[in-house]
Amino acid sequence: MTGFLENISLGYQVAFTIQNLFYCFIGVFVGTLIGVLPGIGPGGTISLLLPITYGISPTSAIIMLAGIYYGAQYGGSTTSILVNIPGESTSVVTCIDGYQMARQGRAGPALGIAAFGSFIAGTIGTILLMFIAQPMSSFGLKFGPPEYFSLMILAITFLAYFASGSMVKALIMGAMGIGLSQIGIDMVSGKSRFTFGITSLEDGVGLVPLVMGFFGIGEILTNLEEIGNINIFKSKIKGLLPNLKDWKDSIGSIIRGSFLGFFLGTLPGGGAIISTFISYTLEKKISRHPEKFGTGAIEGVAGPESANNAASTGAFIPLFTLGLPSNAITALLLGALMIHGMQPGPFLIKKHPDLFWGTIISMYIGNVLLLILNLPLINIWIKLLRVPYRILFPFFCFFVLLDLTALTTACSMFS
Amino acid sequence: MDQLGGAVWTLLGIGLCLGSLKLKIGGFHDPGAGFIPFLVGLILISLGIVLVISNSTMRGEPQDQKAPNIRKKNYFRPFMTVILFMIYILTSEVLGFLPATFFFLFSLFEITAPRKWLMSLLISFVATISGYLIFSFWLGCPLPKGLWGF
Repeated sequence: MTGFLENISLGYQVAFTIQNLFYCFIGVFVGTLIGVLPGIGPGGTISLLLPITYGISPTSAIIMLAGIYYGAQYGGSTTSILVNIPGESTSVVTCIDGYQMARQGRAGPALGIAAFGSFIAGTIGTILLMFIAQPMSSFGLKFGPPEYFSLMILAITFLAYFASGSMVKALIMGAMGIGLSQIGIDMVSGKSRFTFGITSLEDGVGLVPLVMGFFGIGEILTNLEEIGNINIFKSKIKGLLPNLKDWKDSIGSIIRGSFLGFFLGTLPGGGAIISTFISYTLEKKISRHPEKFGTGAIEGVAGPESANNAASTGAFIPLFTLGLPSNAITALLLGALMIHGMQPGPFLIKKHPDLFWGTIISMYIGNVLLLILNLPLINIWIKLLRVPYRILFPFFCFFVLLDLTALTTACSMFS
Repeated sequence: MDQLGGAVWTLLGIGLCLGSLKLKIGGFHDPGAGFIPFLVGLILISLGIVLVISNSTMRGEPQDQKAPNIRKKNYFRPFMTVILFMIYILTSEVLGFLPATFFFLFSLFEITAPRKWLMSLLISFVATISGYLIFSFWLGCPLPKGLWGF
């Protein structure tokens, strides 16, 4: 117990430095921003910001990138509720009842319960992470190659099972990932594999350019295909604080969503998106008035919004304890750790307790900051929705260019 | 579209298998450098064929494309963006960071909002100069200088 308290104390010392508070704020601010803007998600943003983290300490980098991840879960609900377009894929379910509530003049309570639900879920998730991660990490120390191999097979099975859409396509992507990992010099025989004489490929495909291409540029191009404008909610949002009845209706959904989301977040291939759908279905099943779902039931907003936030926290368990990313975003965070010369896995918590405990405590701080950012300042975020994507996207492309230039010219700051 | 995708994956799988044959494949007890790529190639070929066949059998059924509420896609903008990225990569070393980035940004704005060229010009100019100042002066990044030295 003393060791645990010492770790918590270390976490507070790390998280409460001016530098880390600043990066935590930047993370949750950018997370909310991209959560609100339907054009770009946390995956794209983290991939674009990866090269920038070279210049800062690994702890600050992870605090900031994690802030973007869970911050986006907060911001994503805003567009779902106000314009019926999910800001994030994790907020698709929120559109169903959230938008109906907005149409009935209850946009305020919908946004309020989404933010409070996310806050409660984020806090529950962080507490669970704090207590589960260390025993899990000790358990992970017993893992050898057969166990890791089995886990990988499990991850690919889950990937195919949970994939929204075609299972064949999901398996093709899994195989393609293994194929890409084969490029470079074979560690056993020393032979060059599929490098086509390109020297820079001998170390394998660079993680940062790859994720920037897949998540950053890929997301930009997909959004450019879409035609049409968003109908923005014109009136000012009032009455953000849910009333007593709203709380009574939704507190159970928040608690259930938090635990369900956290558990599903830890599963490989699972994560925030699935947790929202399962939470919605669960709430509808156990409700005394299932017919209200789809017509503006507050439980339909509270449950999924809590679940996606808790899932984003739960996803840190396999990352920090076993070095296994459970979804694309944690894969990016794994890349960020590796860029900074850290090997995520069972030894991470022992070798870098400052990083682990500092990130956990920063999540508490981040959740409080997000509540402040998302409730009193909601009208500012709504104004941002009026900026058309055609104005924003050249800046995203510009950022990609700057990142690539910085990478290829071996910027002195990053080296 | 899925049939075309399936064909591409099958071809890629064949390419992987052929490439792996040039390396040593080995066996289950003594795998060579080409063992895993060969297996991945076989998986890609199988899945690619499954994708082609499964979509061929679905041809007679009503397609989603006929659904009235399907959203129209604009392929011109993403296509032009990719072209501009390629032009930028090819020309930035010769032209230098400032002119190449300015033309890249201006062209992007012109593709998406062609009627507001003066505004595009101004925003592109300010963004390019800001990026140059931040990366070159503040962060000390050696940006491509090109023939004119900037």
